Amino acid sequence: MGSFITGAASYFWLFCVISLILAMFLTAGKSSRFTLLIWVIAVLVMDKLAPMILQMSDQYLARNLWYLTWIVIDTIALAVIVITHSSNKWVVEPLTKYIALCMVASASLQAARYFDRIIFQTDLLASIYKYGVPAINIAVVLAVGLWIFSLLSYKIKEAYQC
Amino acid sequence: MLALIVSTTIMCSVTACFYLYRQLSCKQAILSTIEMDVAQAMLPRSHKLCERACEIDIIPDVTARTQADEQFRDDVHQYMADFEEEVAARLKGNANLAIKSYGGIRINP
Repeated sequence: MGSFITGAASYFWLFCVISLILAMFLTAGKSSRFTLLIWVIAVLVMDKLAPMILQMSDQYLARNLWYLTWIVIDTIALAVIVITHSSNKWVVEPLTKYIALCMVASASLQAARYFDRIIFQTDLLASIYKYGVPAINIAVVLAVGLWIFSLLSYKIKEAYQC
Repeated sequence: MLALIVSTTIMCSVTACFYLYRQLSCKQAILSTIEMDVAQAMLPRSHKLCERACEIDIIPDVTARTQADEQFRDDVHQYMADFEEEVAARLKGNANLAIKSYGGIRINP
């Protein structure tokens, strides 16, 4: 089960891309679509940067950069979402709030693990970090799945009424 | 030295994350809570308006019905204006929300 969680989590962005394409044909709100797009871009950037950081010769620098990169990407993604929403005066939809909360949770977990591993060297959060990060991604994917399901059921109901 | 720089950046980023999330979620949540509170406080008045609408429908005289209908419309507009004014007054007390206006009423210049 543990290997499934860590292995499958890296492919969840693909499901979100499919959901994003599906959402273009359904009556989805701009807020949710934009937030999902930003989340997919952030996940893809992280996937691209991960091997580069792991291949670094200086292990100490690599460990420092590992956590810092994830937190900075999450912060930038969240800032883009907030700025776009406030400048376009978009209503914040439940999916947007949920993804934003997941980003905050992810950044907090990364920060906690950084202090646990590098600063205090206690190594208490190893397993929480190992399953926590994929679990946050799974939570986003489940929320996206529910969102697409609700959009589809609304579309079907609308078609039957016509 | 590197750990100091990274840990400071991480602390700043996580704080920024929490601040941004608060900006995203709290503003609308507080506004809708205020709106619900005001709507709740004005519930007897809205019930009276509903009751009045039903009474107008059964007035037999056309002239009297038209007059009552016009009065009813004025009352509805007054109700909406009072609602917006009350929400705007309560919003003025929340300067940290950074809401500039509500229903055409200027809150924070």
